[in-house]
Amino acid sequence: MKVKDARDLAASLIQAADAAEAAGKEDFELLDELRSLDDAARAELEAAIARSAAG
Amino acid sequence: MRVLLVAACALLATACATTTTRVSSTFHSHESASGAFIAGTLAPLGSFEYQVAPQYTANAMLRRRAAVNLDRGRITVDVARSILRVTDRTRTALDDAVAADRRGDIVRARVLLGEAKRALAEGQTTLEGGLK
Repeated sequence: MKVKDARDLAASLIQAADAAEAAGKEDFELLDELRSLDDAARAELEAAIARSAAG
Repeated sequence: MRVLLVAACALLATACATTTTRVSSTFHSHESASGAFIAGTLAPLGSFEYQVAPQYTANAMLRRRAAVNLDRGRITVDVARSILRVTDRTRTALDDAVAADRRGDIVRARVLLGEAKRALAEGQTTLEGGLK
């Protein structure tokens, strides 16, 4: 899950909840979604560091 | 669950639309010279998840702010690397806090949550201090 801002985060969480519901999951695992969000943000920061170091 | 999400997200969007950061007890806020952001939680009130969810969100947002500011030349690569390290520390502390809570070690969970909050504050200070 990659988000641009707080509004995008809200939309992404709703989509994730919908996907969980469609998949028949009873519980929406909020922390799993937030960890996924943090992982994506980490990858984005690492990529920016690599670009900056290379440039 | 979806109703709860929609209601919470509506609150989040409303909070973001205001020029002043005004938060309810449901939201944990941070404001800086580079702009305000709000980390909300959709977790059940009073649960440990309720306490850690905003920290996960704030950590992700701090990482993203650092990436954007580095791309725009507003922070140095050294500042970005420092933020990467401190946000990794925050994340580890949060994951360990959740694990401690789930095995019933409430005291350890709270200690780790405190460590995560301090690391997150350090990261935010590093970013704000590093802005050109």
